Amino acid sequence: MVEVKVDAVRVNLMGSHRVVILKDLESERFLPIWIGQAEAEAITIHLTNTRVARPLTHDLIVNAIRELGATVRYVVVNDLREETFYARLVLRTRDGKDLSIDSRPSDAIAIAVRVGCSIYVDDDIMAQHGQEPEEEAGQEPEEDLGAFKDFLSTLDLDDLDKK
Amino acid sequence: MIEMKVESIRVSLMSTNQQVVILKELDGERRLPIFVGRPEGDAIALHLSGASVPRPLTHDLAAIILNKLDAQLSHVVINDLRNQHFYASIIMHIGDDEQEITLDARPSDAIAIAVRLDCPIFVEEHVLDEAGVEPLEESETAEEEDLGAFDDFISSLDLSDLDKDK
Repeated sequence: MVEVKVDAVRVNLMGSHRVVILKDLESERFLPIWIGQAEAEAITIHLTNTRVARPLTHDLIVNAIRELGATVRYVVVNDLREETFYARLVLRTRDGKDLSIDSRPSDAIAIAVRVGCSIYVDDDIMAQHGQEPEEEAGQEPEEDLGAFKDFLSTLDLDDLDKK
Repeated sequence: MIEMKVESIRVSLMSTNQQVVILKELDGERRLPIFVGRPEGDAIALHLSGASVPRPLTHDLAAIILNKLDAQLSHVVINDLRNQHFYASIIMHIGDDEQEITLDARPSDAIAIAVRLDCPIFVEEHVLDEAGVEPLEESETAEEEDLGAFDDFISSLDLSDLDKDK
């Protein structure tokens, strides 16, 4: 398992989805995971220390785990099937037993940042789907420029003077 | 405490980020409308509609964790209304323990968890007295308002244009 940290939560300009960037603690590799808007907010609100008047859903889950005498040992993104990432939440019960619970990565991460536990990614998943920063830097401006070019070419500049 | 059930979840036309959960008295006609966020409203509606989701949603995860940690839910209760915010609690105990555990929650989360774990939903009497709605009042104002908006719409139409497209 590779230990990672939440490096960033990015907005996708095309839709309501967000991307959470999990960065390898010991290298520059990172794993981008698409997550929903509500879950992204749950992660960022906590990471930016934004005060909320009432407990959000993940705060409630963390409170419940604590009140029930359990702790979160770690979370791990452990599988990818049909373009969907899977994660597990590993809890230790008040009797000292370990429980592994199936979860979406977004929920697992939102819980992990609240309790301050480690976030891991399975070795194979990171090896196959992790990205190096150089690749990304090459791609992004090109794509952005592409969209901008498309936009420019749709403009009819001949009309500009006619008003 | 008065037992309630989720009667409906309505979309607010004023804001796409809000929905309204309507709780109805089990033994009466009073309703309690509660504004909730859209993800929480969806979480309640999805479960009640029996829709299956490929992956556990956040409230499914909450319910699974409660189950696995042997939490026995007694009930959830909407127990206060301050500054136009409803407050709720989830009341439970662990296994055979007698000791009660109370979790502070937003009503939306409490309801989304209650419907998943089949536990009763209550409202404190003073909250229902203050914010409950009798069905008659509700239907009168609703009709009037709806008609008002419809009238406005009708009067904004320019019917003389109707034939000109042909």
